[in-house]
Amino acid sequence: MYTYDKTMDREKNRYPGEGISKGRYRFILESVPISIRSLLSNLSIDELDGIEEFRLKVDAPLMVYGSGFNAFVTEDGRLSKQKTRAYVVTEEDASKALQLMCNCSLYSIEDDLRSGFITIRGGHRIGVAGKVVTDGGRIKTIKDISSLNIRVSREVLGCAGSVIPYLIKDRTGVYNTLIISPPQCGKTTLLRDIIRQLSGGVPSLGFEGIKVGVVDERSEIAGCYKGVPQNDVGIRTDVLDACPKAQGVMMLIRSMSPVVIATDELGRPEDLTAVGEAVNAGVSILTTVHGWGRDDAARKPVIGELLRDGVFERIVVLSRKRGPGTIDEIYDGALGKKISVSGGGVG
Amino acid sequence: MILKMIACSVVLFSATAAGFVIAGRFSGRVRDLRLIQEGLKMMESEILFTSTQLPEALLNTSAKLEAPLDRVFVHAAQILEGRMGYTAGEAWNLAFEKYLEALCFNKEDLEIIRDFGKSLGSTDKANQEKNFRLARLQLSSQQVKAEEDRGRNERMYKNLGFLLGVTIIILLI
Repeated sequence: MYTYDKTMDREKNRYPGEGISKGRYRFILESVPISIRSLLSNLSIDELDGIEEFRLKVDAPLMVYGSGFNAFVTEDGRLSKQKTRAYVVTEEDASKALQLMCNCSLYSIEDDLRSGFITIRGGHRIGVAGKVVTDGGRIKTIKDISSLNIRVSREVLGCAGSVIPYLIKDRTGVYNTLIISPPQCGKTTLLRDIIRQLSGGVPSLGFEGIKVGVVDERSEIAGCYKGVPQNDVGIRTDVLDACPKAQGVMMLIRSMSPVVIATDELGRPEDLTAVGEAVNAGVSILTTVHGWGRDDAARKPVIGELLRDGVFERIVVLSRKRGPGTIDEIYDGALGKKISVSGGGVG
Repeated sequence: MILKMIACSVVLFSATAAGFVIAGRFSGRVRDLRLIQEGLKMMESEILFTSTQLPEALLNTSAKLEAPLDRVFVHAAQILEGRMGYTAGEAWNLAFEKYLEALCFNKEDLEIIRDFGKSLGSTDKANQEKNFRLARLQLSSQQVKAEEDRGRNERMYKNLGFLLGVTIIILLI
């Protein structure tokens, strides 16, 4: 019933009376109430392509954020710098949006709400803020939703092309790799494409493709909707969606015999044991961490320890120098030496 | 004479039929109330035990439900799947409005159904359970009343139709 058609015909995804097909923004438009949907569908595809976040806050103007810009959405469906003509989001808009986002089944996303975000079809993630209801110190749910932040999921297929040759050890193996990147620099996008290429194989390098296990705690990598990855993560990839990292790594080692395990944002004490476990079992690790360069990462508790132990054989450092996803440097962890020339922006 | 006989039997037949139709609405209401309670029960377990999403829960329920309620559930599911911005409550009400003629609910019943629709799908499981419980409780007391009404009125309207027919014939002759 809810099949996600990857070969979606752009012309077929029209809304009656709107005339413009919004292709991959369809699921975002479907998740906001008609009042806001009609404004957003007025924006051109070029405008939509520049947007990274749609922010709905009760009694505040409807806003969009992109790379280095933000704008208000006016009442006639245009982007504007002026607050005065902006559409003001009502309480009804927010509560309706939340219902539409979960397919009118709030009860089915109770667990997601507890962690503060939900993933919709298309892999887009929606952050939720409001009144948090606790029960004995544990978060029970969020009610009276005041803010919704729709983060557009963008796959940049092929963005890992310049990194992959440095990560491949031989025909069937990869190095333990750490990606260090400041926030919003395309860390997850790069990780996703590395996973896709390792899993699918890289014929030009004679690399056949290996079994990849992904522990996707925040549903950001594969963007699973009802357990099915909405992003292309390759044919040999098994995804544990919404699973705590350390436990997920153990589960994958035991159950899915992966060659490499990929996770996003390592950093909790228990992750250390899990990584050790994986390395002992001969499974490679591919992970990321927030940070501005190698020295900064080395100061972080868990990652610092792993770096000092020489667990990571390849370290990729990202920056925003030439747009999000600029590959700054690639280090050989064992030699501690730079092994790449600076690469270009990847999206 | 033959013409008169035919006219008389037509009058008698239609008056009796009208009586039966009105009487039928009483047993129809009992049937519909029973069906909607069954439907709610099935939907409740889909929602509470398997967290099935609402459109799917509505469809699964409709497959096990008898006419005319099954169509209402299918229609509500279709509205939600159309993703035209309707919430569960709105879809629920629209579906009942569409099939209002085919259903035998009275105003009170519909009020309960609409109130139930307001929180359908828009709260967590614990509150969904309360909502389902409350609606079923109210509907079952409506059913008791409907059964009393049927016992009292069904026979009466059937006879009344026939007698009305006879009266008209006597007056005309």
